[in-house]
Amino acid sequence: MIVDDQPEGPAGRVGTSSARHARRGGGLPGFVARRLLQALAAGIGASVVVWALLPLAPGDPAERVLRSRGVAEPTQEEIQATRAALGLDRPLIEQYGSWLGRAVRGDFSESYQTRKPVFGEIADRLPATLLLAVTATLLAIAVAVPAALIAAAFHGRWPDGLLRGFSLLGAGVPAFLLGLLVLYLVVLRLGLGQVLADGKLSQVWLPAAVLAFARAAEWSRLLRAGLLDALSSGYAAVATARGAGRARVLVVHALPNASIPFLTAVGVGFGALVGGAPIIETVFSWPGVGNYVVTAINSRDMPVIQTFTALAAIVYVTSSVVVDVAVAALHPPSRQRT
Amino acid sequence: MRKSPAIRRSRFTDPTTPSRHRNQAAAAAIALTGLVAAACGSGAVSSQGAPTSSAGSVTPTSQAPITKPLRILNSFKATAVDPALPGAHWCYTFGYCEHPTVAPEDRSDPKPWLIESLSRTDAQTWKLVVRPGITFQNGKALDGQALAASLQRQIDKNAQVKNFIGGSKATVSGAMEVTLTTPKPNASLPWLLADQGLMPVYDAAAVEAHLAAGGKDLELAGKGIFTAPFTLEGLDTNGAQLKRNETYWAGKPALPAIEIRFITDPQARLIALENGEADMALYPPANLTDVLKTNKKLVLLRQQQAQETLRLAPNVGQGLLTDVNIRKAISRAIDYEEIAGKYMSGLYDPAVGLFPLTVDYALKNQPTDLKEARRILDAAGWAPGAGGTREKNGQKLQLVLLTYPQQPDTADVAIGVQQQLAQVGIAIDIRQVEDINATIAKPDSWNLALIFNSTRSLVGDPIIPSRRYFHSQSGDNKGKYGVADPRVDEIIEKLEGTFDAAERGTLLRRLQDIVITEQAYMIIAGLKPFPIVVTKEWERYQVSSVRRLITFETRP
Repeated sequence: MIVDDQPEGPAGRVGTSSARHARRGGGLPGFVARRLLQALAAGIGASVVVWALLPLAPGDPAERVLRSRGVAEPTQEEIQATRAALGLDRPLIEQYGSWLGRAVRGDFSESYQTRKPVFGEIADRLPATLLLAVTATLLAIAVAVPAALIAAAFHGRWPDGLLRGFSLLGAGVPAFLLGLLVLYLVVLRLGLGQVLADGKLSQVWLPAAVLAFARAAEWSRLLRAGLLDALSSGYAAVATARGAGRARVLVVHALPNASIPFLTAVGVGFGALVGGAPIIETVFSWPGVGNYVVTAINSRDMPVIQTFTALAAIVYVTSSVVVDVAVAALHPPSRQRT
Repeated sequence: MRKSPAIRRSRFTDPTTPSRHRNQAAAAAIALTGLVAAACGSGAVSSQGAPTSSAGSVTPTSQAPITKPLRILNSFKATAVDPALPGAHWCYTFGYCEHPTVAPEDRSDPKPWLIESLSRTDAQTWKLVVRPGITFQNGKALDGQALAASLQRQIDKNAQVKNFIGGSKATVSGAMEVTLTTPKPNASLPWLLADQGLMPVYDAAAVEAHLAAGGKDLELAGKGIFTAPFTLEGLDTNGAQLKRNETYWAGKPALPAIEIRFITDPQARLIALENGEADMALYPPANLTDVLKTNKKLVLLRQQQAQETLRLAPNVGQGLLTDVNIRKAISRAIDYEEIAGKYMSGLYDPAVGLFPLTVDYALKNQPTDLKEARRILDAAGWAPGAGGTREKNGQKLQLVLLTYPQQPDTADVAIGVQQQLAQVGIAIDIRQVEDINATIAKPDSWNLALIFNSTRSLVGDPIIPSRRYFHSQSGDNKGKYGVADPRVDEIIEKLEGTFDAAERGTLLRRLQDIVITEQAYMIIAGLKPFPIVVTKEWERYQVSSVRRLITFETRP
């Protein structure tokens, strides 16, 4: 992940030519190609780990399949037949190749429990998860940016102390506990909202707020640190000397530079949320991907777990690449570091 | 066998029973009464003999029409509609399918339900006479042909049924009669015909036609393939929707509809219940029992008869517990009252033996007796060691006890067992394992396992569970628990072909003598009645002891 510790503000870029940027950081197409190759390597590594979930999980995979299908006492004949039907009697490398080939074509097999294609089942739940992820991300940004600006503007004073307290709370309170507290206080005591969610916009606010809480705490802390660095830099001093007010220096000069690590964190955090928020989705009975996966884990529905892990890895790697490329486009020196 | 009125009304008959035709006539009259009542729209069925079921219901004090649907929160998902598939068995629990026989609430012998009678012509041939006037929800009549097709499809395609009575043949032997031939004598058959989702009666031809036309399993919802009081209208991964079957054969169901939501998180289920978003939540965790007792909006209900058994299963085949003395000492050293009351917050019933005392063949032969436990160990040469753990020939009396996270109660009970056995000098090393079945299949890695099973089937059959746990050739025992006792094998094999209840009782008592008193092949840690949390409106609801939570009589 790229974290720029030497930001250069608009004031600092005055007079810097794009040719010099290119010399310092290399061309963008080359950077993108290198980053894609790295992503491919990460993807292949992830695919091995994901596939290995099935053979490495405790117990005989064939017996596990039969039991998850309700066969309480599978016979040796049934186990052998299932092993052959699922190709579990073939060499591991062959099994991996076959699995990868199908996965690349989008065929992630069928759920042991529902006997429906896993990819389709996840796709059915993706809109609810996307809605939750987008809302939570927007809420977190809406809280984090003003909070960080206020904390930086009042550095060392009580608003700054308040933000640090908020950050600690966000980092320290487990999501499930916060979720249950919100359900108890907001829904039961205040009578606002409901517990049983249906995945619609009108009910997204409570789970999104809980999800946003930890992220807002983390992101505001990150942005605050970046803003303080930027405020102590030379270009901020130049801008101040040129007569810019404190608010202008903070918002126009410091914020764009401080936002690069912040945006990186937001991008990766959003990717993780799209991969599902299992705990919050479960506590709020949100019909998304995370909730589905928790059920699959409880019932050891391995194809679902594999597919979810594979998709989460893909989303994570993709969002990392997108963020890195965006940062590299905005800040050419960062191209050198990967 | 201790007879309840329900059993005395039972119409299972032997070839030697002369009252068969008289019973058939009575049953026909009963059915006619029910049909007339239903046709008149009275919504009530005569208590003089029309089929009634107290399962999952309360005795109605008011016949005011109910307009609100019953809303249930369950942690498990029904994943299929076709009864041949795993995951379809919830139809039994939630009242959208019915079986040929039904288990009474006292879990005594099953009685006819969709059939008028079940009789044997020899040890392997059974005759089932269909109750007249029953139709599937799709309007098609239930007759001998439909029943035979339904039974045969389950025998051929349902893995569990195949396991129990594979190779059996269901043939039409009359307009309203089916002959069922089993490959060997099977005294469990009446229970199998009542058991949860094993052999529900459904329109097999309609299911086959639907699937042959490329229809998906879940699309069977709304096709009216069952005969039950509620019709499954929709089923997906979020829940199920049922509506009243207005033409139900036994009377108009009291509830207009039922909505079931699948909610994984137990706390969310209870908060939703408290917030008025549901009426009933299944599977409350044991560790919330005390909290629930003080909640003014919610009521914790439980079965009158515990259905699940928490076994403390010894590894008889390998390790220290091949020594019968240690097994017997463990059995005596455990305080079953304390396990149920203290460690399970009163949610469990104390264990007294292999079977609950509600059945007349049950023996109370699993006492707590610390003195006797110490005496047995002393006599076997296990002397108290320096750290309090007994030793013999330099070997410590230390045992590995398995628990598993899918049943959190096992962890709490394990702590109780550990503390209680420490009092007699047995050290317990608790190990939580992800896949308990896989670990048990490696008998060199454990000594004791806390595992949920039932020593009687859901509907009360003691024979099939006995084979599973104690027969030397059973897949659930061989190479796992390691019980291999020719006397036990002989009793079980006899039981499977014994149709006389008194004779069966004698065999079952002998079995308990051996497996509990003489050999301690199994230790019962506790009995778990199925709990349900309801809102105040439903506080008079009675939790079915055979897990039929919804019947046509169910109402607040």
